[in-house]
Amino acid sequence: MKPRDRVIAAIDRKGIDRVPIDFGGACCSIVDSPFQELRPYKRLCDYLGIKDYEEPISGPFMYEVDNIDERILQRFGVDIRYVYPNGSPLYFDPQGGAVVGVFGVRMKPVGFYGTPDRHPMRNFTTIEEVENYPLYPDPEDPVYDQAGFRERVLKLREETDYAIALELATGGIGYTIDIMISLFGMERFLYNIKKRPDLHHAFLNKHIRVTDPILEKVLTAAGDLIDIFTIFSDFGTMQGPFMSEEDYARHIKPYESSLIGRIKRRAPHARVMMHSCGSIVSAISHRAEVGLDVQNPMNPLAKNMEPAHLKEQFGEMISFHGGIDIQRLLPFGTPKDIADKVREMVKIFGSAGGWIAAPSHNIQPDTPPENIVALYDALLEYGGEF
Amino acid sequence: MNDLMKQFVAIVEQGKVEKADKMVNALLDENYSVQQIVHEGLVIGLDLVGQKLDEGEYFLPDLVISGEVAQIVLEKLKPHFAKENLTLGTVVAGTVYGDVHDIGLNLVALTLEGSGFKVVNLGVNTSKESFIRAVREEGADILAMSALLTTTMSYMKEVIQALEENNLRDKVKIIVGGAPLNDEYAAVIGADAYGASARDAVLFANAFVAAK
Repeated sequence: MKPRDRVIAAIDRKGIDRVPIDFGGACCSIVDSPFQELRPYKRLCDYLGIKDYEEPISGPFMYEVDNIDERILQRFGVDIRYVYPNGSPLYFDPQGGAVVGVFGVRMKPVGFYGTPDRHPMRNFTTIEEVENYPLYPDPEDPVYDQAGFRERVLKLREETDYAIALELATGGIGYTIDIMISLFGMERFLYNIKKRPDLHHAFLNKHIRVTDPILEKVLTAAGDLIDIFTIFSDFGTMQGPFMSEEDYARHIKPYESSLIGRIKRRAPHARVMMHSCGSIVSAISHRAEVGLDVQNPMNPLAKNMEPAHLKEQFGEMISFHGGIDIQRLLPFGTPKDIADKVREMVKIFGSAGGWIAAPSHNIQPDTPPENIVALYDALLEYGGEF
Repeated sequence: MNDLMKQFVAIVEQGKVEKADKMVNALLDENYSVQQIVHEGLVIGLDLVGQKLDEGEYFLPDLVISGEVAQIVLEKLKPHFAKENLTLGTVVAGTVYGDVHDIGLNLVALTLEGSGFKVVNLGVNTSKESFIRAVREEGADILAMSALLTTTMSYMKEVIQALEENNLRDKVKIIVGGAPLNDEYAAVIGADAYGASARDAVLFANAFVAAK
């Protein structure tokens, strides 16, 4: 099968020749920061004998490498390529200081992560303050003009057979909860759900109003060329979701549903993948109900997120992305442990599909390069042994 | 427990922020001591919140609103605290250098505060120098450190070594927590205890203070 067909068939659970493979993007890449002594991406490139790679480019929330070298992607058999529309927040400050990210939140680097240096909406108590916040993205800002984007995607589509995935980071379109937590701070975000739902909903409705015209521009430019749109909605800890199923259904789900709907109305062929890490089992069937195609990640160490359990409970309604544990297996396992896990996972999901194989999050700096190579070698060797 | 105290416990447990202020006035009017309000009301209510969190009945928003009640109550009682000398002890808390995860940290800080400890929360990405300065300047009884990442948890050991070098190690008890840790790791790095939950932290803190 061609990579694009393999990925689509896996998402639709229509039968595959081998498990599709992913590495890269905001959800399953490797961290690397020019301000840290350990350079995990550099180490991987060195290990693979690649000397002339580009300096890493990252997104606003953590230092994951968004421009993995094409030679590595080919060596690892990766079936997906990520594209970034104009206006994507991909940068770091050359001096290592704070940078202004989406919605005017200043992000400062801490280790391999970015963290807001203050929460501009923390003390907001009225809907007017939320409405009148001055740093919402302006859809008319020329930075969101998509000139040249279609040509870039079209070239990739015509010259290669890879599935094309687009992360909706530009203008903060695809980030809802993550942006709200940055703006209000975690405690205020949680407090508003219980005590000030009017502020919570005012913000999320405003988010739709300012980001939908940007989404329109992106989809008009190249929506027909994209196979997978990635959106983000993080509210899980390793032990469980931040909030009850009832609160999720009332305060979060309508906005996830709106975004998925607005993407699919304009790009009916597209599949939507949502990044939502940790233990979020109670949200999965709600998301399938509103049209989500792929849940990322499957974090096997999070409570109740064991792959066999997820496949059994939700395997008929949704597909999964991730699944290879980055917390213990990849950093501390042996190449044989990793190969054994790959073989086990391939058998759990079987030849129908339903799983895109990838690390359960961005690979962490304590992971030896030989383990990363062992993972992708095992996927290529055993990925079809259902 | 009489009806008024029962109502107070329910207000804490259910996070009824809007009723907290009036309730404390009512309790003081009925001549409840500050000690009774804290230990027979606030601590009991927060303990119920902790139990319901552990059992999966409550979630983080419930904890945050109960924490808000605790803060209103403690703020209101503050003038009485010094008079009755009621602070159980001082805790310095922080997530270690290189780590920005603070949900667990804030849970622990809030619960300890609600249980009658003075908590100096240093926040995320805390260097060993900051920990040492705070332990020294606050005269801390307990140091609580958190880390979510396998790559940052080793920094806890550096903090403990720095405490030793500064002759502060025997002045504080050290509790550590965070997803990748366990009892064994706590012992290896020279901490006094590992806590898997905010309730654990309170249990250890109470035990340390009682043993002093």
